[in-house]
Amino acid sequence: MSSITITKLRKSYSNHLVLDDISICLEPGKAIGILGENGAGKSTLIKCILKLVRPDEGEVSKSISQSEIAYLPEQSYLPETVSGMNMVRFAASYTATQDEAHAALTRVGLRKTAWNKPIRSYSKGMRQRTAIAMMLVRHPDWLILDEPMSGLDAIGRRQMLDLFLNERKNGRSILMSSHHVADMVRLCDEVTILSGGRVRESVAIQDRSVDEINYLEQKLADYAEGTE
Amino acid sequence: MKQLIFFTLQEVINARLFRLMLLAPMVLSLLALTFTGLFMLDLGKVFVDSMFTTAHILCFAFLMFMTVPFLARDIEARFTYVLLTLPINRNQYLIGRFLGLTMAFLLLISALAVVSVLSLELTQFIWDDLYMASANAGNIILGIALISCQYLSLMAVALFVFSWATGPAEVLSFTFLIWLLSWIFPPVLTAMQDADVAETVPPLLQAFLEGCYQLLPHLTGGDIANRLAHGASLSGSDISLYIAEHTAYTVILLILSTLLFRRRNL
Repeated sequence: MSSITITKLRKSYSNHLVLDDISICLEPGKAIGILGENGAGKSTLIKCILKLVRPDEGEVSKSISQSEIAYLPEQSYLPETVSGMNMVRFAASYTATQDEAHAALTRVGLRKTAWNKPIRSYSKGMRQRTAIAMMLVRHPDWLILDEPMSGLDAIGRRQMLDLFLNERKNGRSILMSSHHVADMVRLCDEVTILSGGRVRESVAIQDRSVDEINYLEQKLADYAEGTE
Repeated sequence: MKQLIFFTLQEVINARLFRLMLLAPMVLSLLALTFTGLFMLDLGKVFVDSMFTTAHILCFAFLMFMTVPFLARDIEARFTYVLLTLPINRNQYLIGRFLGLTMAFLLLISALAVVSVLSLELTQFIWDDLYMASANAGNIILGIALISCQYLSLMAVALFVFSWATGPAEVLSFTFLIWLLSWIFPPVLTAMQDADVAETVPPLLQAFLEGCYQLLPHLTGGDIANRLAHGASLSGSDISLYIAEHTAYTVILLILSTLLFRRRNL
């Protein structure tokens, strides 16, 4: 399993610096969180890793190939006219068998009666589950999640989190960006705070306690307000 | 890439609008038959003309209401992200999407051709004594095929715009603008051939307009269809040149699109 090494990454959009001299090494086998306020540069950093955006300077290690990474964008859009089953089959057609498509849909807990219905009839949670099944069916080394729980209700968030926790237990490497500290602390082994486009601090998660959540929330607020 | 082509085709075929478009040839051919019935002479010619107009309407509808929103949605809803993080590179994505749309377009054109030929047979059966010999199945199929060539070029234009556009509004406006300019330029350039007009237009402007026209797709399918409907035969070289021109235009735009799309931020 390969690590992802980011070296001196810099990216700006029309004179607005979004990422400034970012250097991180993302070790395999861990769940790593990128925590930051809105506009901190989390999504841009992920897009640079996925090569959806070209950095102005710096680089992301070439040792990792596209087939080793699966990505879940914030509020994944899936075509309305296709069924969940066909979406997962399509993703499976690159690296997996059709039986694995069934297994992936079962694993994410999508009701069997919904499998062959068009996605336009799905709820937000069901769409998210389908997108996750599309990721899992490919057996990637890395799951890259950009605000995966955004827009979900409390039950949906809980179910998603349990699913990712299960993947982590199975040894999958996870990189998750979020501004929701409690989710981060429950899932991740290490949290990197990104603020104003810069890496401020990396915190190893110890006991997943309320104190750790409070500590990270305070740190995030301090960096966002510029008092730290 | 094969998977993406078939997935795109599946996406289009499942769309309600496309299914409606597949039904449209039947309704429109009935309308064409009714319209033909209003004439006293050259019924075959009138019917063939009506079916060619139907082909233009359907092809334009596919371009503006299927291709453009389909591509625009990929950017707006960020489905591009989902596809590009599968083992698909940017070139495969662009070409796969285009070929999938092209296959759906060919399906629509084939449906129209079949309905047109069947309706022509019906015309022949109803108005046998007034039938014009030049209106035959071969001419109808050839006319529809040649008309669709120019819309294939316009679909490549939409893909080219998509390769650098940042949102649906840009894809729609620029594709529509290019389609509009392609219609406007020929009469303007013809008018400039007139001696009186040519005297008043600076040669530099004339050369500029000529240059612009060469960059646009040449929408001469209507002229060809008109000739076919009037029973004028087309030479093999004319047909080959016309097809070659549109194929080359499409291929050049596909190459340019991939070059631009490869470098853009998403």
